[in-house]
Amino acid sequence: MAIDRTERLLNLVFCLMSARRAVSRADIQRTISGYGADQSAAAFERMFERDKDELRAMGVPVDTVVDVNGEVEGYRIPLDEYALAPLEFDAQEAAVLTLAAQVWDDAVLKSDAVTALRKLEAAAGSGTAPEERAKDFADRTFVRHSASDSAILSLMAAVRASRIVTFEYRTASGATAMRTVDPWGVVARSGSWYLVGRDHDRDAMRAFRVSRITGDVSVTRTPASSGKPNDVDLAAAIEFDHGPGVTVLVAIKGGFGAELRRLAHSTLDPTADVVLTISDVGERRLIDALCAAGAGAQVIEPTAIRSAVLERLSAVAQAHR
Amino acid sequence: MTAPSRLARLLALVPWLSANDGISLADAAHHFGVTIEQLEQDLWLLIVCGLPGYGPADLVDIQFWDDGRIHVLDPQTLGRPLRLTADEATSLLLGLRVLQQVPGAVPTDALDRAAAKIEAAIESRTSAAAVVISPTQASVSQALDEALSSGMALALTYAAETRDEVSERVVQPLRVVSVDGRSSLIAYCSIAEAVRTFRIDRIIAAESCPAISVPSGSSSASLPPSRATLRLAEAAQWIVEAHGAEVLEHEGNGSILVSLGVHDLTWLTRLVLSAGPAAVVVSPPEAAAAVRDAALRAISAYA
Repeated sequence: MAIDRTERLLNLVFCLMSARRAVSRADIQRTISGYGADQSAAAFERMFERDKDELRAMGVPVDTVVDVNGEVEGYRIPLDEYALAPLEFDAQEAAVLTLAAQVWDDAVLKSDAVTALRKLEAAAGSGTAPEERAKDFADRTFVRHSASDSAILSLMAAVRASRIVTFEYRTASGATAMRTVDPWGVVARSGSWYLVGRDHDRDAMRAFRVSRITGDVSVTRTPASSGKPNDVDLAAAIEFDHGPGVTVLVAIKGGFGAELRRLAHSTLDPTADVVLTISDVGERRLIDALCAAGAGAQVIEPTAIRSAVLERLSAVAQAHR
Repeated sequence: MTAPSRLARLLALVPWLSANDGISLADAAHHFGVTIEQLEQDLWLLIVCGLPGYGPADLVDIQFWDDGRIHVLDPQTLGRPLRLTADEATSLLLGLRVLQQVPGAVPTDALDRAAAKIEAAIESRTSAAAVVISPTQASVSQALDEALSSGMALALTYAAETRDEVSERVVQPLRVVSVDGRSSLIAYCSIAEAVRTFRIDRIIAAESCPAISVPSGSSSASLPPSRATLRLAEAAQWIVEAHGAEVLEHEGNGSILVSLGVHDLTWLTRLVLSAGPAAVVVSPPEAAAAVRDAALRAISAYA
């Protein structure tokens, strides 16, 4: 190969950006370094089509200019569509952006975030000064989040394009099956990433852990048959289902029941015996917390919760005989 | 490195170097996350590219071999950066959203302004992704913000995780650390007379108080966990991922045997009581006995 592929693509960008009129395919082959003026028309076509697609995929606006008869006249890259509009950031904003680009631990989102930051810095004409200010913040905060799975990017692209995705998925018990999903959003919690969307086979909203997707995500060309309903909150969709909110009255011994005191937002003396009302906490979560408190807390009412707690405690004692 | 991702870097490199005239090769390489050798290869490639004709006036002109500093003399048409791609804008905006949810991290007004400017610069408003950070009470968040920026101490009411105890203590905040959505306050604790980590979502109340002095060389230590073996039926298998248990064996009936790291027996007891009979401690026997005793004591407390 006579000339590096990146070099050819760069030369194509320079030529199409600087031309005042559309550049014809013939001129592209004849004048741009890297297209081999003497190679066959078919070979050139294949090369050029691939390059054009690749530039567009990167976000470079390659316009196809058509003449009055509908014939393709040529191609150009309009500068105003290509370039990021000038932006200005004050010192604090610039420092905050620097920190934001440092949040990602892994290459998947990190390289995109860093490229975005470099582009914004170039558009603002600012130098590296914000780094200094960012260090002031970094002394008292350290914020990191993992994003190691490259499927995250494919899934986000599928959400934006609203295209059906298919993938092989492994359940907690280890069984794998193909899933077909209308992608609604990608959400991270506690370091795990989830795809939320409509599962076609179950015809219901489901959350899928990205780390349990085995193999590649295939983003189909089929438009998703459903979009995210307005009343669906993505963050809530990956919450465990704690059941309907309930209110209980509970007696807590001094020095015990920290979790229950926290759920009651109690700032009373933690070493004192108290009777507290815990309002509107998911039933399952509340029963979990009441059982965990053991002899440190007793449900006074309602009876249904009291019975559920006693039943669970008896079952645990039985299982550990 | 594929041609498109290298091209993306080159297109970003030229306008950035133009805006940072005279930057050193080492600094520029650091900012783009590449080695100096890779950066030099990029620059050598750039200066042979340009407009058809490819005469001296048609090529990108960058000088970088004199003193290790980079000067863009003619960027040709690459004076301005390419618009942000959707992936780039999302990655940076999500980073801002993460910072926004961590108390005491950075000034929220600056965060909001920066996010608004980026959102205005991109066309797609679809938010394809979100990151959930463990929530913090507004009053706690505010007290943390103040203490970290002013150097004040904090009187904390804290619900410890391992033992089910609420404690009150005065701490001198040193740093907020947030990893994978879990935020903690690293602070010097006047009771422990050592640096301790406090999970921010377990702080019940926080109030500013006069600063306390932190002895130099204060450090924290934690013991390695011992291990327990549990049998988990399907309903309790969330424990595997939630607590990083190691799966030892799949049993025929859908149950699994796992090995779990345990820092504290009280913690294990609480975990099993809350998980119900779907989680059973198999060994060590004293842990199983502790669970049974705790359940029986809880039942008799109702009598």
